[in-house]
Amino acid sequence: MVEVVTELPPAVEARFRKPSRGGRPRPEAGYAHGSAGNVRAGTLVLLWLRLRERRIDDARFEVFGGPSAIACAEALCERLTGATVEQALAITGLELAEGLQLSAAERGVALVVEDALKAALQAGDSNR
Amino acid sequence: MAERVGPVYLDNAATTPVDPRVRERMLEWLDADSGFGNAASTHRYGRRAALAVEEARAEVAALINAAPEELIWTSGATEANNLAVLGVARFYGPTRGRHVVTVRTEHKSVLAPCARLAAEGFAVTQLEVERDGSLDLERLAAALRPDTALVSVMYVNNETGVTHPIEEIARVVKATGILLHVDAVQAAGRLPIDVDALGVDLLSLSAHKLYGPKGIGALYLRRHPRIRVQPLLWGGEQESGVRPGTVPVHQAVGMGEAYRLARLEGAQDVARLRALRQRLWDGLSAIGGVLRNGREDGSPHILNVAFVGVHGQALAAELDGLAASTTSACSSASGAASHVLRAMGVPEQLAHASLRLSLGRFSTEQDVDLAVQMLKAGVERLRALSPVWQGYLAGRSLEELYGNGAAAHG
Repeated sequence: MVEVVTELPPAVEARFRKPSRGGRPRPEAGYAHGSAGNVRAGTLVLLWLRLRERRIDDARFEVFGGPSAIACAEALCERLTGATVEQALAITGLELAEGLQLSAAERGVALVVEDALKAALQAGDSNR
Repeated sequence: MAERVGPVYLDNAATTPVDPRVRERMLEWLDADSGFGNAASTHRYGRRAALAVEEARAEVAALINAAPEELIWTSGATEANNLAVLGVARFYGPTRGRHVVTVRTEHKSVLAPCARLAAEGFAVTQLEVERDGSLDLERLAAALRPDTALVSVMYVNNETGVTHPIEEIARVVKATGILLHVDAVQAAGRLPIDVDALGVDLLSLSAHKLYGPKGIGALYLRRHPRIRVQPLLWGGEQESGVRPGTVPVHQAVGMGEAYRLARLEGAQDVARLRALRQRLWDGLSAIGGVLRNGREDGSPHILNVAFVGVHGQALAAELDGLAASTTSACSSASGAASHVLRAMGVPEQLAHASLRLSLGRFSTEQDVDLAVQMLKAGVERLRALSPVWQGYLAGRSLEELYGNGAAAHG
């Protein structure tokens, strides 16, 4: 059951209105890429991470999803920039959801974002 | 007119502002000196109220070329539709048969009574529609059975504006002696309605979709031959016992005035609506990746469009400055995709990213231009973040992007 969005939590509002890390990197070469979710289920998250010496120096996303999903991907990319792979691996969807004050019904989108992160990190691992 | 306080209003299929002239007429009947009579009373107050109610009835009747005595006041079109569907089926079921036919894209106030009938043991056939929302008459003819008591089909679809050819439908249905009910809520004032020329037996009308007040509607019930319905309410002789309850005089007067204005000004209104809708479509289609749900030859006041690559909730969150319907107002609260668009084969996520924009007597070119501007900005912003839009730009088909049914759009 999808909730009707009347007012977005401030943390979601700010990131949904003005995401700074949205849009795929061009060119994509040099980025580890991962994705999760699907259009039919309502949330598709794509992530690109650029790794320098086990540290992420750039993180980009694309999302087909509601304001919460977009805000969640943006929040993740903010945290990833400058983080080590080990720090990135420790990030969970639940803490992203809590950070954005997502309602219980919307936490699922944060788990999709977490899955996209895992996929991207795995791709980064196998790239080396 | 007072300065606008809210967002641009392009939701006239949900409800229309009350025309100031209608409001003026209604106020007389809220007056403590003379406007409070019960139209059923035989004293002077009552007789005066009854006269006003009958004048109003004649005005509503005139718009659809009916006789005044063929109209029953109801609380609105939902009640009119319920009374028509349940009333005919329950009255004629025992003699004519217990089968009713309707269409998947009907308003919930027809579909839900049909579901109620199914629970009472009736057989209900819901006809499929084509990809453009139109109804295949051969499909209709094939669905009719010896025990079919009623066919209920709307004139103008409230979400897409798609019109059904009522005259041709009536020919098919009447050839078999089956009764035909038409929900004409969105058609009134936008398309000509002549109940005799169309050949319908029952027809539902609303006041508030045509610049009248909320809380009143009417059901047309043919007199020759006389159509009977089992009432939904019991308790008085008002409206020939078909719809007991004190008639709300001010509401009836308001509906009468609204329908009088529609009869006098409808042609002008329609010409304006048509031009505004074209302007809206020209503006929106220029954005690219904007698909029309429905047909170009639909009712002049409704445009339903899908924005490729955009998520429905994200789109809704971009629409602070625009009052329009993401799918139908009646179903958007539930979060489910529009049953009308789904019946037309629009994929679920594209149905969520669809918007019904509906114009009215008070809509302006400026409203249309502002709406286009806001939508263009919002949609382009969201598309810059959207992997689906990237896929669309790369030439992937809607089918690939959205899954089943996506071929609905050309």
